[in-house]
Amino acid sequence: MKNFWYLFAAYTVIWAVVLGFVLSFYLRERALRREVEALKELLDRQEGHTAPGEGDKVQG
Amino acid sequence: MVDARAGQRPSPRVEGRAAGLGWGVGALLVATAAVMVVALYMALVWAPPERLQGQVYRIFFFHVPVSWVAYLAFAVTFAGGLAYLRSGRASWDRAAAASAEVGVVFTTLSLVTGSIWGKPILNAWWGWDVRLTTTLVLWLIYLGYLMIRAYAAEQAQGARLAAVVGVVGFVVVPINFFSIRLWRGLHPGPNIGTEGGLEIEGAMAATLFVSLAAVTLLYITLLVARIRLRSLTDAVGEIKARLGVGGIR
Amino acid sequence: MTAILGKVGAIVWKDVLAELRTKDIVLSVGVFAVLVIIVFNFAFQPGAQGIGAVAPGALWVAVVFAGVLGMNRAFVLEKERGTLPGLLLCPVPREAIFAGKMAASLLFMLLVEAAVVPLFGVFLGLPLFPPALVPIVLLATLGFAAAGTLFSAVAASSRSRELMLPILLLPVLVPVILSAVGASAAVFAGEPFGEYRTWVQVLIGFDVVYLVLSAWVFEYVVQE
Repeated sequence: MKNFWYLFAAYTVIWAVVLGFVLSFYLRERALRREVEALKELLDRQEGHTAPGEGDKVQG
Repeated sequence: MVDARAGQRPSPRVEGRAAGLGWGVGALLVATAAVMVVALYMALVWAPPERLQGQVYRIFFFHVPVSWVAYLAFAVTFAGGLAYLRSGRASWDRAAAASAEVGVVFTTLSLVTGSIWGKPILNAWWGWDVRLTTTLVLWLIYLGYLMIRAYAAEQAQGARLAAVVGVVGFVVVPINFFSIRLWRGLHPGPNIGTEGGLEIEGAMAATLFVSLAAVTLLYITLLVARIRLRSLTDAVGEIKARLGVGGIR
Repeated sequence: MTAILGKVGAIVWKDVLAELRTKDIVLSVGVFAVLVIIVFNFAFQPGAQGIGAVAPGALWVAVVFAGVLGMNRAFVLEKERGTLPGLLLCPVPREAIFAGKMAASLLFMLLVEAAVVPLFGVFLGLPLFPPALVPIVLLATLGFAAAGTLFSAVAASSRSRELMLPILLLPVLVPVILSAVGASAAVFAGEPFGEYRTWVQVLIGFDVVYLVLSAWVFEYVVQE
């Protein structure tokens, strides 16, 4: 069944692309989380006080 | 939300909404995965081989839904863009942009899988037929949509320009289709998107239906996840602007 | 109505005056179109058997590429000189601004075509300017100018202006290019109007859709 290769290729491409797309979501969200952490730190430093137990709370 | 007391923190409301969408994504993901597994089983195992094309025709169980849903995605971009131009509400723009992105990915899949099917059956990776050409043109239009967003000087302007491209680009689709059909001459009647004359029987139709459901669910999941990511990005951007550390975006 | 037309006329006149002083657009676009035709001649072996079949395509590719070049100037120039806000502050409806800019571009394009089409005939041994070609050129250029002006305004607002215009414009121009090529091929082959009527209908349909659509969405594009 020489055509089987094409079937395999098509399904591989579909899932590779979809997973790549989802991976890009994950990477962007991770970058965003880091940014939020940095911002919180900055904000805490600016306001000169650190509310206890808040540094580890990031939603989303 | 536990930290509602951090009231002076900018936009906890936006973050909260994004978190809500997060739950939605989780639920959708489970549903999509379940239907997808069934669809894959039906498409790859359960449906009988096609009489003329043998096994390769199974590409169609995903190629066809992906193409249809890509058009749906661009229709959503069109509607979202229109609503954004009318109301100026960022949420419409987020939906439109997210849908365009998913649409471009799905159109890419449609073109690639169609090409992979065409090689063994029509003995060519590509043919300038009506559907292929129209889809390719559509793909280019929405690449332009994403590029104009990315290259805009500021976000709101990019959203507006992109909405215009999305609206105008979608309106041209019928004219595009018609002119390309004229150019190629009249085409043999379509049989669920094939030139190879696929014979659809009961089991195949059922499989196609289930995979259409799976792909539509996949679209909705990706759409919601992307919208959520966009609102998070926007919220962070908003906070940065308020803190005066923006401009690096 | 006449008041609006007067305002449109004023905007056209402004662009024509600017063009008369610099001769930027018409000259460079014309020269570019001729260059494209010459390059095509190298690609296709002059006097070759099938030249009649590819000639209309070459003509319109030359016109469209040159036109994109010219369209780039329509709004980029206003942006660069900082005159766009002034133009937008004029007490005229946005549709009139669009119509004025479009009419000016249409004028420049037609001027270029009036020179390039006969030259094309000279180079390729085709009829210089068959009368039946006139309405086709007019309709195609109108559609080109309508879509081109809109997307020129869109591209001018983005960071990489000159790059964005062709990327946005060429895909939506597919119907214009196809029908202009189809109709002019029929004209060069001496076929009667009935043979290419559908192409002309596509052109008219495109023109109407684009004129209405562009005039309507233009205000969102130039909104600051």
